[in-house]
Amino acid sequence: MTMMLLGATLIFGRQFANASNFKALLISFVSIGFVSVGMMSLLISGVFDLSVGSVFGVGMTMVAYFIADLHFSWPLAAVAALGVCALCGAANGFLVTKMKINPLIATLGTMGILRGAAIIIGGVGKAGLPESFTELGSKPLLLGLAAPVWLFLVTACLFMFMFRHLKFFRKFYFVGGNAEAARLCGINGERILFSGFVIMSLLAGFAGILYCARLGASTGQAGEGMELRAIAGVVIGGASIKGGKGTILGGVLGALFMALVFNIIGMSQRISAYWQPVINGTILILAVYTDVIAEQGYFGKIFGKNDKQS
Amino acid sequence: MSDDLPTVLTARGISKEFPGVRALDRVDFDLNKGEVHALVGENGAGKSTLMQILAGICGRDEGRVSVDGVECELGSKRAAENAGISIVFQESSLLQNLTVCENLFSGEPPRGKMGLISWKSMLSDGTALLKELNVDVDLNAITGSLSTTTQKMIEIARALSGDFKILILDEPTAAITVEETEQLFAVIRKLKADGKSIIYISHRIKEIKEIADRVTILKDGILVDTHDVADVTEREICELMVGRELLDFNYVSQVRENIALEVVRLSGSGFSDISFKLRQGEFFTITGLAGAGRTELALSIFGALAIDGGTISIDGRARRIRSPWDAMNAGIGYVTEDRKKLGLFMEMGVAANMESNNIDSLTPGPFSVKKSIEMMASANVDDFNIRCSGIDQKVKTLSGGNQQKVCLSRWTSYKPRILIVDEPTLGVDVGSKEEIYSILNRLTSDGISIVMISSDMIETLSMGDRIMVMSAGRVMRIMDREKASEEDIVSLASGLKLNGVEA
Repeated sequence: MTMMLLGATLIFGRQFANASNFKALLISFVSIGFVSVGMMSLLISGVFDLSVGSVFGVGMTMVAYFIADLHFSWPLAAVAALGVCALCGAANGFLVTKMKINPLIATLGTMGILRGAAIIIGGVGKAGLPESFTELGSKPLLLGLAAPVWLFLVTACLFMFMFRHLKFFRKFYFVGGNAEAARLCGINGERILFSGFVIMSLLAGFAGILYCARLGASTGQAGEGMELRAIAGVVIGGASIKGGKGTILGGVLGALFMALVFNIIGMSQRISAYWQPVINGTILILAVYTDVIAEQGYFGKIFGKNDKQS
Repeated sequence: MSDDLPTVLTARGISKEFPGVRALDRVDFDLNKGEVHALVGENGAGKSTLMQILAGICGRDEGRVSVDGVECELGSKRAAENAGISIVFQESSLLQNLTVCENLFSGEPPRGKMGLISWKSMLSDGTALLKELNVDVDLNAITGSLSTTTQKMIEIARALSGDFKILILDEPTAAITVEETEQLFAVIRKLKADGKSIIYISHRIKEIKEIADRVTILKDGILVDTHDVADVTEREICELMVGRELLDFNYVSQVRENIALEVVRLSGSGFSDISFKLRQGEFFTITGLAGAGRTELALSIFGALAIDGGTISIDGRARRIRSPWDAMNAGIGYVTEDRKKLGLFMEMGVAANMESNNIDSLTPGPFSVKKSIEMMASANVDDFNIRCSGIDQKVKTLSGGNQQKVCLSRWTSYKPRILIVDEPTLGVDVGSKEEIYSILNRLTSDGISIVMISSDMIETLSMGDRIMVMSAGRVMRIMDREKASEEDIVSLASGLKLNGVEA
């Protein structure tokens, strides 16, 4: 990561290394940051969620809908939108834990359903939201950074703390490490996974609400492709597709790495924006492959040393 | 009767070593044409290994095998099949997601015009095969949806579909009903009349008397004897299988007065109508053959499997146990027999594994206290003499014995009232075994009741207060360990009642 920062500074000079670019980077990072915290939590417990982008869209669309169409005050609208997102997460959790549908398929399904439902209810887009709400998203609060950045930092720190020190969140590691053994240790894996999905959707929805405040409008397509970026980021950050591994800090750093990559691509005028998903997908596959060969011991000697010290 | 028949298979001096055990030690085995030759011995006697060598699934270290006087290498299952040897495994080898018909002809499907698979002749051949065995099943049914007994019959039918001189049946009746056994015997007699030879492995001595011509007894990988079945009684066969030195372990009984666990008429999948009482500090061993329903019973008491009926009381109070956490709250702990799959978190450290079942109980409140976990882990490592480089060493890098001690110690840290240990010394080296025995004995002196499930005859007879023998999901007898003999246990476990068929 440090090398990337140095490299980018060398190539782009002031264009990269200036306060406003870093600010822009941080702001664009907030959305994916929230989602990555949730995605890391889920991957630790051995599952993942493809519907995050759609839930992000639900959060955004619903808060705009509540404010503009139902004339809720913005705090009430935000709480109501979060409630809807929690229900989306509960639906994912129900499909996976009670109906025993493979998480990949269950969340692929809800990804489509929620994207469509959000647009049907909230429309393709809404503008002209009240200033009291949009101020929240853009007005500098501290050190020139707006509320979303600070809210993200607080959330990330909170999750780091919880995953280290709370019994409930420690159980995520055991469920992901060996679900059947966890059950025979008296850990209710279904409850853990269900909570994981609800937390994931709350975070994605919250990010959507903040994004809506920053933009001052809602758009139907917001959050598309987010699942790919989030999963790639957290796997780079040390999660394993097999579960039981990873830290929240790792997930945040992985997401930051992805954000940096795209910031640099954005800076170079010659690379088309359409390359983004290509690079995204490539990084995901490479990251998972590295995890696989580390497991198989191909690079075992290099990685093994690190393991013993940790 | 068997002397005048030509020999079809001769095995001489077969030896096979697995890490730490000599599974077979210079074993000789003969099979005549048109003969049913039974192979008996306890768990671990080497029967399955010998059969796997003959079927080309596992290589041999020493020895020669010849079929019809021609020496064979038997390097693969294919090679064995070409030599005319076919096998039906103890465990199902059917593909669960395919239809019955596809499974029947998975080896050599019948071909029609242009070498394409002929579904028509597959269906008609399949119907004929199953009719011979009197199995009533839809050929297009998905195999996984059928009962285990039906699946076993399909497996036998599959073996019959091929061309063979020698058929190995490894405990074919372990999972089938009495009627189906009769059906199978009728088929075996027919095969015999056709001049085929059959090697028949079974724990059920009664069946051997009924179907076999000769019987070979193995014990600890060594050939004990081969007899004409007509010359020996069931009792004598049992006696030949047993007879070993007991452990040099001085078990000290710590039984208290009060009843810690009472199970009344418990039924579930794999067992039925099980009743027993366990006193505080008592060491209770449940023994029996594989498939007797012991692990299912343990998992049901621990809430991991659903029960169909019956009650479980702890300290005189009936408890509803529907999940492992219910059982743990009631004071029950369970150490699994399959520590790799169901017990440990292989990618995690020793301390984390010890935290796993103690997360909620170790400290009060919602916070996990790292220091308490580390203290518990260090204490356990010292107490149980676990050899590891530190409490964060990944358990997958520990030896089997040390892994087992991690499993045991994390449950003693939970301080259960009743601890169920399922095959606690399976895959454990000799030194660790003795340590585990003394740990278990020490637990009883702390007032913990132990239920040990064991297939190991030596530890069953050397440890504990009482022994319960199970067979086919039922209790055969509960007896004092001091009065139990190896012969009694073997006959009970094989389903023979004492003083029953043979006086």
